[in-house]
Amino acid sequence: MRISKKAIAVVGIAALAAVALTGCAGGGGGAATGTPILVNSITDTKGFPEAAAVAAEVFKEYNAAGGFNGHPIVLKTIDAPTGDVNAAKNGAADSINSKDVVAMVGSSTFGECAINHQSYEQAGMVAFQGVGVDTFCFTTPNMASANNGPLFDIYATAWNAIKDGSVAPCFVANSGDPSTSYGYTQVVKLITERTGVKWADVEIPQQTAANDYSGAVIAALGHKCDALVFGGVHPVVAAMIAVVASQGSKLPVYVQTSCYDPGFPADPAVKAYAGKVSVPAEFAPSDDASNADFNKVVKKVAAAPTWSYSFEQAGYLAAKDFIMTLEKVKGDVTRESVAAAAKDDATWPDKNPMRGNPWVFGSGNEHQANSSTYLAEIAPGSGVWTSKGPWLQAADMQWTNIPAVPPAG
Amino acid sequence: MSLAKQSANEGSAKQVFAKQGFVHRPWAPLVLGAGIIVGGTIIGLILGSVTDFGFTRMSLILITTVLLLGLGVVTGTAGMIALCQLSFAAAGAYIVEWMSLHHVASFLGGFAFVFYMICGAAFAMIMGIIVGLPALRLRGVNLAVVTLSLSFVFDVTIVTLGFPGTKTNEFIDRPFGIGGSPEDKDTVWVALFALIVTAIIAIAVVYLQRSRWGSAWKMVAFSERGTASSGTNVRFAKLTAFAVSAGAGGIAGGLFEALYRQGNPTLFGPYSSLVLYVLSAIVGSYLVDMAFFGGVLSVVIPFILTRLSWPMFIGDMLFGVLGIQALTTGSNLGEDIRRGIRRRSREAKLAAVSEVLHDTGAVASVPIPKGTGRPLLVVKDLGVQFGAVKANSNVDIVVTEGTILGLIGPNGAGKSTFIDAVSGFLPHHTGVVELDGVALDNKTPSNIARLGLRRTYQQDRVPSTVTVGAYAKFVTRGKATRAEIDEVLDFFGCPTYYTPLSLVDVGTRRLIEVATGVAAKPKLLMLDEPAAGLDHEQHIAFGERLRQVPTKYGVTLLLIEHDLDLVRSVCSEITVLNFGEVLASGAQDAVLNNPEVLKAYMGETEML
Amino acid sequence: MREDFGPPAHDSLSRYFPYTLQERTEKMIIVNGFAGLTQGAFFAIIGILLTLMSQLTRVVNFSQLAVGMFGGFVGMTLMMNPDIQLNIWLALVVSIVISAALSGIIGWIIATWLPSAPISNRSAVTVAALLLIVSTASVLFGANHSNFTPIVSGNVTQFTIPGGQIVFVSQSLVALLALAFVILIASSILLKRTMFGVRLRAISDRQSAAELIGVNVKVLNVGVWVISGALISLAIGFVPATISNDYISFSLLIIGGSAAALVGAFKNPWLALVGGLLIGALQGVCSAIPQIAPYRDWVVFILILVFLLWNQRKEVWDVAR
Repeated sequence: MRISKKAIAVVGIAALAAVALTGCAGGGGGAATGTPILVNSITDTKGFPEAAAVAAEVFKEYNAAGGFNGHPIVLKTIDAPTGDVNAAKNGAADSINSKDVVAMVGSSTFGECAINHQSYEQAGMVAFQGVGVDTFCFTTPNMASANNGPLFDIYATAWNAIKDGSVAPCFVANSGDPSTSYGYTQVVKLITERTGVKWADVEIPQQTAANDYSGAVIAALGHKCDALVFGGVHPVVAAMIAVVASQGSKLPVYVQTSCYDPGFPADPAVKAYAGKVSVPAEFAPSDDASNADFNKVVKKVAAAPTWSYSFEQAGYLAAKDFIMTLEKVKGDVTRESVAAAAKDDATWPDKNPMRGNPWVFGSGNEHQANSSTYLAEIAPGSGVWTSKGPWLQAADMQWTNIPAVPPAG
Repeated sequence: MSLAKQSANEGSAKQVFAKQGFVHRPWAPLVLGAGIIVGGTIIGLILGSVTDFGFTRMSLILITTVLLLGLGVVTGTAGMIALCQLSFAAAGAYIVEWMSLHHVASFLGGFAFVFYMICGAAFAMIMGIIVGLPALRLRGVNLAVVTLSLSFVFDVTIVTLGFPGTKTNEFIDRPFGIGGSPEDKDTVWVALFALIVTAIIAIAVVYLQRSRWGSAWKMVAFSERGTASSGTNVRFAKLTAFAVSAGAGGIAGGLFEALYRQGNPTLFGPYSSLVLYVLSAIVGSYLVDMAFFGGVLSVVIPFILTRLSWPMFIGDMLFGVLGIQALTTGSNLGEDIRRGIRRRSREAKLAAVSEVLHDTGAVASVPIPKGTGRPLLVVKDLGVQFGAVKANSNVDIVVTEGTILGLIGPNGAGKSTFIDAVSGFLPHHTGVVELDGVALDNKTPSNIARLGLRRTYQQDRVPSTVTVGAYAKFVTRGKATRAEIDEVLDFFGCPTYYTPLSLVDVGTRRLIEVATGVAAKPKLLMLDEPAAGLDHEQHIAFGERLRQVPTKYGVTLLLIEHDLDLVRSVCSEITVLNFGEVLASGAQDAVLNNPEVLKAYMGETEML
Repeated sequence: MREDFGPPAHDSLSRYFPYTLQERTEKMIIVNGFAGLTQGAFFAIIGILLTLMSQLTRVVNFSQLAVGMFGGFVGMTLMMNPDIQLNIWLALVVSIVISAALSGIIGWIIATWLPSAPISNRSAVTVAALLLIVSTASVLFGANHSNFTPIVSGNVTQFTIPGGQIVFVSQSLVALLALAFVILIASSILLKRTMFGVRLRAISDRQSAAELIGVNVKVLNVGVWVISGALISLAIGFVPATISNDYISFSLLIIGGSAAALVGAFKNPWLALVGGLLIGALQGVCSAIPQIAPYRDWVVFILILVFLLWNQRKEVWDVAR
């Protein structure tokens, strides 16, 4: 399989040269008949391709069924690798300069919200983030994410640890920017204020090119924690769990929803771990009946075995959220009318059963649109997630939104 | 060759050089660079307004041009591998953002931003100097390792610190009241601002490259020893190159701020610096037009990939392949294109140059100079040891002012080691070396050269990247006027001032090395087999010129030579080295007739 | 700047902690320092290989880790593909073969086109190769959410240090150290006792002279590259799952490895071993101290620089005349 992919890549380079020489440029086309409704997605196609790929498939089905009043929705994915600020900036500038693009849907590039949030605000363009990572994805008037984001999610993660009886949890989460560092420190404070449980240790190492957080984990372990709350994506957290194991510990580990994919429990480091691993999944667990349509869609996407289930769900829901908003639009579909419909607080339909709460864009300056989690666990050595539930709502946990930067003054 | 024919030839030689059309065009690279930038920008502006190319991309082309121009100085011109160009940009951006947010110079109005950019560039330069001071003692590939590590630790630092604006979600104002949106209506002005800055940087870089600093950078890339023995401190040359490069990086960082209004650490990571280095090698970014072309490549390729909805990393793959090609062949696009354009005219000029050199003949004959009798160079008990091998031991040599001393001996006798030791390249030698009463033992090669002891090399130490005149100006360090340089070049039958050294063969380069060494008016000039590339007739002519040097130019000579005819024709005194020791020393006749010398040296190779 | 914002966040969080800052700095220094040895041993192997390559083939191979990373991803992809599910040992063999071949190709390119170029020109090629390999891996293997599976895991032994903390000796550390010593001892025997080694040293000293006496310089050069590629891939097999394997950051571990090699001035592989272990331990110690943890790489960088300046204080000139 891989070998044929390589062949494709080689042919691809040749084709790129050919196309560049002839000056042609490709473009997507919809199957439906009307003027297409254009939406763009800024995605790290080699890092986090799931959301945009699944969202595009959702639109394909939607268009096949007639589209929006006969207008197909066309999603264009703009590649912006993690760390390629210029690509993310150009992607946003292109989308904004192209007046026919009505919204951003299903974007998932690390840090894209922080890079572009101000541009979208200035241009009056709304963004339905697929996988929103940095805190600006949740604190910008024009952006609402399908997922629940690292701050809400790690709050729920810590909540679960304390609910399980932890009285001295340790917190280790890597942060790629000052805003996220600030957010994490606020989460740490908030949870203590809400539960009265003091942290045994808090480590917020900066994410750097080295991408190694063993030192922080070991430092935390030195403080007699009774539970470990880890923030990060699958490879980073799996590495952290390997560090815990290497120090002879089998403390219960609480991880973020980005680890909720079948690959994580099967990861050798996780599978070998002697302690319990627990996650507050942001969407319905994979064995839930509400995923039936999603499972059908995702089968049509040529997903790689390493793709994240959670991110795929996020892309599916971002597309559905956009369609839901579109159906609220009065008059012509333009950037302005889509934004108006999104920011309208009234008449949002009932929740999609894949989420624990109704998803609303709305007029607020902050959008914790997805604010519920579903508990899942890995029994030591089992290699699979076991759904536990039930849905846990923001109100149950006394969650309050956290700004991206300290309030002025 | 008769004297009459000789003088006729001299006349024709000058004519031929005049006909070659090597004239001084100080404006040529400027016009080329500025033309390409302005032309390219006009095309970019048209593209930007009629397609979705956008002015953010046009601005990025220009920013990358500035980054590459800076990198070109340090990697292309000075020949070092520097993998931290974007760290300097990050420093510049950080300063601009901090100053803007704190309104340090808001009284300057629209020019406040320009002031901040200059401060950012200055800060980046200082950072370059601080890093450069220790790092530049390390050579070549060690520097690559150190700069790569630096880009890594600096990335960590910037991520940890965070750009000032990201802490409060503030965005800085663009210069001259340009609107703050990413839309074309605002970024078109950013692109124009970047254009002006880029043009200024390009002009500055061109003039620096043509200055004595620039010659020193090119010289250091070619030979560190050659640089030092021309009286230029090698570390100073490297440090200036590194600082200029860092300054350009700082300016580019400021331009990033003008475009994006807030810094982002991932913009400046080590990977990006690697890509930039490879890009610089592909295009040859020490050339202004090519730096601009590099900027175009770095933006247009991702643009095409976006249009095709193809992964961005394909662009890096392409750079990887082209980079391997460029670095393995030692060529770059800029040189390839120039070679292609100039091939025809170059061949004609090359033929002219070689013809002139074959015509080089004798000048009015003077006797072997006898000197003033005053000892100029006094070497006592000199010893040099490499491991167990004694390359020089107990060497005593005195060179009398105004004479030509011949230093001869079989291969491996320690002649070149002697020159190395005297000129400061072997600081751990024993014994005493004095020039005109000044002890040279603890001095660096560049200091020794400045004190008036110069040398030439057996191997070619004349860089092909400059003109004869630029090389002469570099070597003479302001000791000779233009007229004097022209006179000496003419006297030795060298190509004229504006001849590119790339057109000159190795033998003639050695001649140019001697001529410029004389023009630098040292007290003593040590020549290490200067005539090796010349044929027999040229040897004789060369010898007749050498004989005139002490009286005509006031330069005493020490000559290492295998050709005994030449030695016999110019040297009043001769010292013979054998196995690192002085075998014989004294007047020409006495030494050359010494049976020891005959036995140990002459017998095996040449007959007297 | 507001006081409750950005790192280091610990001071402002004091009322959420049951201990003071001083207490926590002292606790884990030794444990963390020891844990750093595992990564240090990996740096040491990189450093040793870089040193040997620099001595034998006159190149500082910046693409070395990228080569190993690429092989590792081929092996891992075959392991994880549901249709193939290659056995881990076979996957390791595949990784080694791919890395060796890739390394050999780069070596062949350099030996063919730059046989007598200076070391910096030869090394520059590997910078471009690094770029090519990293970007190719990104395009070919795409979204990756899994680390390399180490072929050894778990601890060999543990002991308690004064203060009550327990120090663990991981199998990875033992395996990496063993590999480092095997490479060091085998290379020194090979170079000093065998005809092959004598030839290798001959080409590194005087390439043209070696050619004259009939030594096939190119084959020997490429051979060194192939062996180096295979060894780095084998070492990656021992690297614990505590290091995540993002294409760029994994390839840039070459920075730590080259720092180790710098300790031996790219001449002494034994010093590279010491350097690698020291760097790893030092980084571990620094990461236990929150005030300097974010700047731990500076500490190492500056120490290396100072050491280097001291070590190279006598050498000033580029080539022998």
